Amino acid sequence: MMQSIDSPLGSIAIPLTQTNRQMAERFASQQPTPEKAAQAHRNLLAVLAVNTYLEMLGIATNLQGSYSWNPIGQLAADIADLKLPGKGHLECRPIAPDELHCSIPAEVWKDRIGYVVVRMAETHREATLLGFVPTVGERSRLPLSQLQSLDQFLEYLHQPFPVLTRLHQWFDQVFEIDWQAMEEVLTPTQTSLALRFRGTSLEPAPEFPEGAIRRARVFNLDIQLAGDLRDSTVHQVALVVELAPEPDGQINILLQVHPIATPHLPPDLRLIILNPAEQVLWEVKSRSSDNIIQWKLQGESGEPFKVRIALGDASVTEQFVI
Amino acid sequence: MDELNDRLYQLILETCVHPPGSLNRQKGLSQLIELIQRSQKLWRDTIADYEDALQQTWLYFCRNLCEATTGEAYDPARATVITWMNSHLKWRLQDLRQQAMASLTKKAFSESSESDEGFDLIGDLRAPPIPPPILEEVLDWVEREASQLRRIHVRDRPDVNAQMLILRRLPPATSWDKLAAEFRVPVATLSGFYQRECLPRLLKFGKSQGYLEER
Repeated sequence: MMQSIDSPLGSIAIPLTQTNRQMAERFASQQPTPEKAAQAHRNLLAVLAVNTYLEMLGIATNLQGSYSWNPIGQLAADIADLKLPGKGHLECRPIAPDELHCSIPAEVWKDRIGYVVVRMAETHREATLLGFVPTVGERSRLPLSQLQSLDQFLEYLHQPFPVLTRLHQWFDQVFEIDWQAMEEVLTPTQTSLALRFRGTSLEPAPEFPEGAIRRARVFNLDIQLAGDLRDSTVHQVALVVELAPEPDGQINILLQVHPIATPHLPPDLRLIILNPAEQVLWEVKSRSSDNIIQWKLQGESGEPFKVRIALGDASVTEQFVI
Repeated sequence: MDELNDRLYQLILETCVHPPGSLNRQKGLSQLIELIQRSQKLWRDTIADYEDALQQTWLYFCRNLCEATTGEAYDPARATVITWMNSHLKWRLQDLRQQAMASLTKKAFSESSESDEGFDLIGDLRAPPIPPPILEEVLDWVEREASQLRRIHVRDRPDVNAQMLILRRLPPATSWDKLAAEFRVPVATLSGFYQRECLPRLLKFGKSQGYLEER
């Protein structure tokens, strides 16, 4: 038998069931043009093939949370992402049996944790996972020769993923799992304190701005006590983020650090705002018996920044994009 | 064949040492799947449901190879792994054949009792539903939200705004290259803005319209 082009070394064939095919057809039937219908059909089959592969290996996926699982997403873009909880969106690009390149539409260049290339059999009864790349940069064509193996793909999925908190999603009521309503994290006294402190001591706190959103996240800071490596203590603090949109599209961001389970923050706790290159932009430090430290900044949608909370040697860093 | 079975047996031993969900378990399973597929020793069939049975068999393989999860765990003393899989696959095929037969009989009964024209199996294959006016609905939404969408734009470029970009990217879409040339803005700026500002709003509208597919 000649070396089949369908199964290059290291690839895995996934059978597509009738349910898979009907699902893809249902998506296709909602599209207004034959081209869009064919594209949605291919995209959904590629997503379902990768979903089955990950299901086989016991890797969690969330089809409904995927952008591609939305007919308007399919209408407005050429997308084939599959959401992996806690990791991000994995793009599953379908290619025809004879293609040696995979086309990457510009609307999927960003916001993806990787790209799996899926060769679709003409019968649509089988899809072959060929390999993956973690990023594509700004290329619209990816030669198949540049693909990494599925083994490398699995290794990649086991690396810790930097969790990027997408603040603009908050306006759509989409919150990452660790970000809770402020009332869930803080006591009522702290909550009202958080509100009062929004102003400076010289001017009264402005009204909670219309359209503003607040969420809180708990962080643990593991402090090694001096002299004894076995003895450590955990300081729990909450980072509160408040977003308030301005009419010109700018977003006002208020960052506050609150103690949890203690009345005061430990002294010398630092709230540091950094740019993505780790350069410190601003820093505030708690004094003895501070019960809150805060910083205000302003930015526009898409701007990235980092927030670090540090105490002694312990620190946690959270990555944001506005 | 023996050489293949020896290799599979060794690989199964190595794979099952690692706990479920671990990287090495997943890599081992993935290598086993590839090796078994490459051997072309799995039972083939031309029945329409073959892929259903095969996909179920692969899931069964992954879940019960090392420990019993959804069925009995694989026992290398009783059969080679390919024999074990093929017997499961044939059972699944038989189940699906019986199900198909049962639903065919049911269909024949209900159709012959409802109409005098007899039943036409080919004609009964569900006619594709009429496409909903999804494009019109989105265009209406863009018009309703026009002032809001126009306010969101690429920095210092009020002409490159969400409303314009959504309208130009809906079918028939203008290519990114053409838009980049027309507005003298790099493709990545346009597509990044589209991903960040336009798609989330469109997806949200889609959800509010109940356009999200149930699995």
